[in-house]
Amino acid sequence: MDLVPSCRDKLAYFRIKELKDVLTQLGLAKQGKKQDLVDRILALLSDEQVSRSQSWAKKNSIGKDRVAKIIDDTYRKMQVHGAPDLASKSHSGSDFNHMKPKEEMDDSYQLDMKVRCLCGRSFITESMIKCEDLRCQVWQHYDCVIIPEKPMEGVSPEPPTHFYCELCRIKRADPFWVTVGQPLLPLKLTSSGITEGTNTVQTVERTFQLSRGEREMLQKTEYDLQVWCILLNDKVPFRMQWPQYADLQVNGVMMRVVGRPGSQLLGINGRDDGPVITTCSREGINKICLSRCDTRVFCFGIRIAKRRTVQQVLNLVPNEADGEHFEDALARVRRCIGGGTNTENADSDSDLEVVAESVTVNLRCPMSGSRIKIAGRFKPCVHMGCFDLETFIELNQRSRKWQCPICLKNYSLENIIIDPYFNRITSLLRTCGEDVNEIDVKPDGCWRTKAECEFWELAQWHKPDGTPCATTDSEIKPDLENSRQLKQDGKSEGHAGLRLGIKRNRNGAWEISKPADMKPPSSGSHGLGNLENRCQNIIPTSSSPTGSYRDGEDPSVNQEVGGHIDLSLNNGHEFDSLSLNFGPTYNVEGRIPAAPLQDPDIIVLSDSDEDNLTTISPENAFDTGPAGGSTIPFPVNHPGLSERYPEDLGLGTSGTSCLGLFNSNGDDFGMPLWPMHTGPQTGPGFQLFETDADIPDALVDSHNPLGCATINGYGLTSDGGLEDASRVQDFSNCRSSTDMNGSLVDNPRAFGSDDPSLQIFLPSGPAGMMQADLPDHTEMPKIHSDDWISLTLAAGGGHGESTSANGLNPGQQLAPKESSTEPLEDAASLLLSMNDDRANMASSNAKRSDNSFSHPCQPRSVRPRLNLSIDIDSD
Amino acid sequence: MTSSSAASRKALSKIACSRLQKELVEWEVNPPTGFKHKVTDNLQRWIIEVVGAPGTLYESEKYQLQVDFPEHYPMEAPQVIFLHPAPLHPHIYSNGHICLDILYDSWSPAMTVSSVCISILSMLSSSTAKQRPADNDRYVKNCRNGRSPKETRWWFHDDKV
Repeated sequence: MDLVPSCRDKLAYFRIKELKDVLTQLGLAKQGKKQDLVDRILALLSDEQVSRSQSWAKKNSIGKDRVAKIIDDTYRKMQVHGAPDLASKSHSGSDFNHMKPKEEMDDSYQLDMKVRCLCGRSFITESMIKCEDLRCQVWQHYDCVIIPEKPMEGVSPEPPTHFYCELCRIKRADPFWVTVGQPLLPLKLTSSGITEGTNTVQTVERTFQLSRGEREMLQKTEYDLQVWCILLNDKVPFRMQWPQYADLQVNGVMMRVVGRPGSQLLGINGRDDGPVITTCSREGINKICLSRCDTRVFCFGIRIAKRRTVQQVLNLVPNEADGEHFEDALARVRRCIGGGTNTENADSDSDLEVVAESVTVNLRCPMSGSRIKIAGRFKPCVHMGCFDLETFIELNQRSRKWQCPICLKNYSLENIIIDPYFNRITSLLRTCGEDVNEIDVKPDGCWRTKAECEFWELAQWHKPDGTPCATTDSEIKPDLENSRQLKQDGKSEGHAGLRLGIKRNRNGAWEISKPADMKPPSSGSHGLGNLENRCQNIIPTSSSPTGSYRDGEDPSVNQEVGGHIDLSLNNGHEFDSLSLNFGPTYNVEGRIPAAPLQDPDIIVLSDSDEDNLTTISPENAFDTGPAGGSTIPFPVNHPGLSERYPEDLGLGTSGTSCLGLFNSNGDDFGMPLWPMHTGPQTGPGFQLFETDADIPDALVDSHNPLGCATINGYGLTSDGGLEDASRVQDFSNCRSSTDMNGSLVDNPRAFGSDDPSLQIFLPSGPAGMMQADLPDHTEMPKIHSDDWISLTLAAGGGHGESTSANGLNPGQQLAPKESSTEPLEDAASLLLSMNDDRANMASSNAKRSDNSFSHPCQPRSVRPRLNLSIDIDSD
Repeated sequence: MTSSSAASRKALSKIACSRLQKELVEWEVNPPTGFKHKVTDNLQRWIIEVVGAPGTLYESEKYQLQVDFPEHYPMEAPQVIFLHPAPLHPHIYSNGHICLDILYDSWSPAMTVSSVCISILSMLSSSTAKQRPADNDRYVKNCRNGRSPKETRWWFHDDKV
């Protein structure tokens, strides 16, 4: 069957003259329409035609091969003839400006010049345009195929940036069909002279022939006879489009052309289909009749098409290595992720700059919602978003859109490639659970999984090519030693100035970064032993400290973790890995590698703490909590954390209490727990934040308030109007400051005084706020106090209980804490009412802590919240 | 012709089904602010309650959106209409049809129910006057036979509201 299509293609290029030449050589009649001549020649090529035709029986001596040879010879003659013509004209004609220079240099193409136009004539005019398809490269008459949007007198329309002939457009419109034959060549449907008024119905009638071979072919399931139609100047080049009120009859059978109402135009997002007329076609002569009521210029034809399967179409997509260089993909990712940062730096006066060491990239396919298996993309797209290749191909089998789901640009299958950067990642993640959908990507292209997965190593930073980054063990080890020293030092006073940078991340969440001016780790804080222990635990768990924390955590979770980290930092551990991106990342000086983030911090809050480190961290946690707001966080369990817990328990009650809190959170939905216990109004300091976050409405909006709150807390801004959360934060700030023991270097309020500072502080500004808030938040303080030994320490100056808190017995701590809280309550009448609740809370906390002990594995924590208790103590 | 309405009656494709289930899970974890999905056992038709955002003309007013998914969601846009009574809005017809480009021409399969809801709420929130579209009566009359808004050739001319 190869003979027929190839001859038919050649015949399509023939002018009447060539056709007559061929017919003469074959001894056949030369009169009739052009199509008739073509049909006559083609008939010779099919067996059945020859045998059936009486008049040709005697000419059977003319074999099909001979016919084909005659056609071939004529075809070649025509081309040789045409080439010089073209060469001379192509340089003079201004219309050829669309030709690419390199094409002009290509001699072979000139020799091969093919002219095939919708007008049916193959002569060369001064204005021609060539199909861009490399295997087609057919020339068409500019005026025949380039239709201006609006009719213009005497002005030739601008050449399109890309031009494809109608056959190549149809080919791209639906790669699931392969054209194998064209019983009816493309036919231009022009509107009659009357362009005004769409009421004129125009009808075109044609006949086409199907040979027996073709009919037999059409019996196979993968072959069909299809009528297609395109709008010549369609803005979406690769799609079918039927005229308005199109009405199609094949052999008298009405065919439904489009699903939309006849009057409705095809939207830019719509796709028409080509009706399959296999069943109503027959061997021999067929009649087709198309009427329409549309003034635009269309082109329609009939083709025999073979279906491709999804797998076959998938195979048309070039291999990963062939589609794009890895370096190009990496450059795109770097530009997409790093580019934003540069612009932000340029815009230095924004308070809401985003400081991101890495950006979270969702690996979900926008079409399926599942994680991408093979990362596909359209090569020309500038964004880095990908889709799942198989899903995309499968969906397009029916939709035929070939539209980028991310930027909505229209392409065709040939533009699809496999993204070498993301495909490496998705390949590595292939065995991960379905819940692993996000990765962090640094501006340099390094990445790691965000969610925790069974393959722990994937949560470590990887180089762009997928190999794990070198770990920072060397740095960490010294830290560990320091931490041990700290433990030994026990209650030695260490002041570490912490800077808090609050920034807003792209999610609208506030991030706190602490580039801290930490004092040498040696200056351990008392009661921090717990913290220290944690730090030690942490380090061993993950090669890179950050990696362990970050993995798979929700932003909120991260923040919490951050809190822990801070503690450890205080101890002197350096965490390089803490990702700035996430809301609250605290950078200890030692960590510095991450440092860039620090600079960007807009708001710098400095806290110097002995014990405070813990308190600070909680604050951070709060801040982060709000940022995380939308996510309600705690559920994540980290192996690393679990390991920590055991040690914490051993350390002291404070540690345990923290754990308890965590546990409770872990069991419950996390944030909600606190509110639950406290009662509606109770918002434990940290918890307060959390509660805010819990409030559905607050989720979205909460970020801003929170951020403000934190700021206020630090004393940078004093707003009476702040929400509860802000007030709470104030408390926390106070606490932290008190804890700081005068270490607060940067803090404007400079709590300089040790324990007393807290007292002073409260009355000064926040006091009023405190009282007002207390009713709501009273529970908070108690809880915190219970939880945190460190808190008691800070308050300790006043109550002296702090020491007890330092004591390892949790039970003792609780008692003192409660007492400490009471004074506060007295101070504020409102508080008194809350007392009962608080007591309950405390008890509940204690219980939780016990639970935590029993279940060390349960995660993390929210310890930070505990800090609030300190405030109460100060009062 | 009733392409969209007919399509919406066809069962969801496998891909559409799994995609919608994922969207539902995501919605439950993280619903868009101001929206509530009324739980039914029908994955193909969601009824969503929307509350006017604070500080807007529609503050605290409650409306219901009906979202019907075609067989080939997400390649085809869902049909989204307000159930009676529809809010008074220059782009919302009294029969609940919404003139919003992302529901028609600008739909992208990367969009979700959640993102569509947020767009609709944003459209409500940016309204400066509670009024029907100028051609409301004519349009509603044309749609009396239960025509789907997806069969309308929308003309999106106003990018302010």
